Amino acid sequence: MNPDEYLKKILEQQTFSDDDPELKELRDRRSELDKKLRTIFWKSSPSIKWAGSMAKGTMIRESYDGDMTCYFSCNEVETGRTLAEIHSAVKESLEDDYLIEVKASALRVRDKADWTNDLHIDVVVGRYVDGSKSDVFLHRTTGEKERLKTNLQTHIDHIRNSGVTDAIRLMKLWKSRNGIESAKAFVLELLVVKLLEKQSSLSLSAQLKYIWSKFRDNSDKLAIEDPANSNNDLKGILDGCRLFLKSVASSTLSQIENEGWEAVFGSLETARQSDNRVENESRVAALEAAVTSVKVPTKPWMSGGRF
Amino acid sequence: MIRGKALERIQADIYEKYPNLHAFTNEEGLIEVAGVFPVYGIDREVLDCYTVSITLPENFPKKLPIVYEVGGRIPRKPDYHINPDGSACVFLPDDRWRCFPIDASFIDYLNGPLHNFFLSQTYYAVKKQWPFGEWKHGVGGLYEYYQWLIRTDDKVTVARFLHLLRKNNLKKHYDCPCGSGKVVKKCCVEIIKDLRSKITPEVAAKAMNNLGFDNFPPPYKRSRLRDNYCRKI
Repeated sequence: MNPDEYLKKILEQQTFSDDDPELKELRDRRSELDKKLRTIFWKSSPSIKWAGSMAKGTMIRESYDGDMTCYFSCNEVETGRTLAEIHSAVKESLEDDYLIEVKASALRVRDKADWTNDLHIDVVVGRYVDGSKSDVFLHRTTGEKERLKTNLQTHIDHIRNSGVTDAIRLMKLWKSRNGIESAKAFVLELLVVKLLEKQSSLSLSAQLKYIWSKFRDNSDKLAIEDPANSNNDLKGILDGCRLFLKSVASSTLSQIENEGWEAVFGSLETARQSDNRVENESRVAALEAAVTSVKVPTKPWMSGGRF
Repeated sequence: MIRGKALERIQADIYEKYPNLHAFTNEEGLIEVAGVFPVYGIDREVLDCYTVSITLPENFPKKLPIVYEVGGRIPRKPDYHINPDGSACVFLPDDRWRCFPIDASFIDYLNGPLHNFFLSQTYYAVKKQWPFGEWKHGVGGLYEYYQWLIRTDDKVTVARFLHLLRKNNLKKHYDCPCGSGKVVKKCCVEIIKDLRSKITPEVAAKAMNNLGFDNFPPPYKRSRLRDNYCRKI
C-alpha cells in the first residue's frame, strides 16, 4: 500500500457513517439543545444552525465538536440589550440542565451529572450586524476586543470549496494525536488552505509533507487572514502556537523518514477508538494492575496557589 | 548553550516512550514539553491519554516543572488536585526527596510522579478513589505529611523537628525534639540524621513558614517561652 492509499484508509476510519450511533447521539443532543433554546427564546427566534467542522465537512471521528450557532437579530432587545447580555442570557438558560464552560467565543456544553462527559457541543452566541443576516458579531471573553465580526457562511464556503478538505482532516487528526491544543482548529484549517493554495495538484501525502516542511522551516513567516473579516488580527493566535507547530512538524517529518507513515497516524489494524478512556472490565483490571505495579506511589496535593 | 543541551537531552529521552510529547523552546525562552501524555498499563498498552503542557522553570531541576492539563479532561477543581491557575499539584514539594530527587532527570519525572498523577486521575474517574491516597489541601496536607514523615500525631513535635531540621548544623546536646526530655545524642539522633538527608534546611524553613511556626522558640533550650508557645499550638 502506498502512502496515499494508506492515508485514504485512515480518512475512511475517521469518517462517520450516516447511521453511526455516535453521530446519532450528537444529533439527538443537538436537537435537544435546539428545542430548549427555541422554547426559552421563542420571542426572539434565534437562528440555530450547525457550524464548525460539521458544516465545513472536516469532521474527524477522533476529535470533533458539533458547533451550533445561536444568532439573534440585529435589533434584539428581549434577550439582552448588549451582546454580553445576550451571551450571559443564553449561558444562564442552559445552566439548569448542563454544565457550561465559557470558551473564548463559545459555550462548551457538558453533562451536568458528569463533568468529564463532554457532549461535544459548542454553542456559538452572536448577533447579526444588520438585517441581511449575513455578518455577525460574536461575544469574546478573552483578548482585547469584546466582540468579533465574522461570517459563518464565508468560513464554510472558504473551507468546503478549498479542494483540500482531506488534507485538513488529516492535519486535524495530526493535531489531535499530538495534543496541539494551542493551535485552534480554524487556524489550522486556514493555514492548510493558504499553504496549499498553489499545491492542490500534489498527492495527499505530498501535500502533508509540504505543509509540515513549511511549519518546520518557515514557522516565523506563517500568516493567515480571516476570510470573513480581514480586520481580525489572527497573528496573536498564530504566535501562540508557531514554535510548537515547528517542533511537532520537525519530528513528524523525521518519523516519516525513519519509520514511515504509520508512526504518525498509527497502523490501520489498530485504529484508535474515538474515546480511549478506560471503559470495560478488562481495562479496569489493567488499570488496577498498573496501580499495583507502581514502585514509588505518590499522592497528589493541593497548594491552592498559596505556596 | 546549556539550555540547548538540556533540550536535546530531553528530546532524545522522550522520543521512544513518549512519541507524542514534543520538547521545544517556547516564546519565553523556557523549555516546554507539550503534547499527548499516555497512561501506560503494565504491558505498555495505552490505558488513557491526557493533553499536557509542561514548562521547565529557568532554575530546573532545582525548581519543579509546572504541569497543565490542557485538554479539558480534568475539572479545574481543588478536589481533582488542580490549582486555580490550572496547574496540577502532582505531589507535595516537601516529599520531593522520595518522588523526584534533585539529581533525577526529566524523564524520571515523566515516568514517576507525573505518570502516577495521571494514572490516579484515570483511576479516580473510574473508581472514585485515589489509588495512592491524597494529601489534604493546603496547610492541612503539609501537617499531614510531616506527621507521617516524623511519625507523630502531635503538631508541637512536628514544629520541634522542623526547627531542628531548619538548622544547618545539628548539635547532639540539644533537647530531643521528640519530647522525651533526653538530649538528641541519647535519643533520636539516627532518626534526625535520616530526616536531614531527606528534608533540607531550606525546605524545613519553608515548611515552618507555611505552617505558621516561624516564631516557634528554639527547641534546644528549655524555656518558659517555648512551653507557653507549645500550649498555644
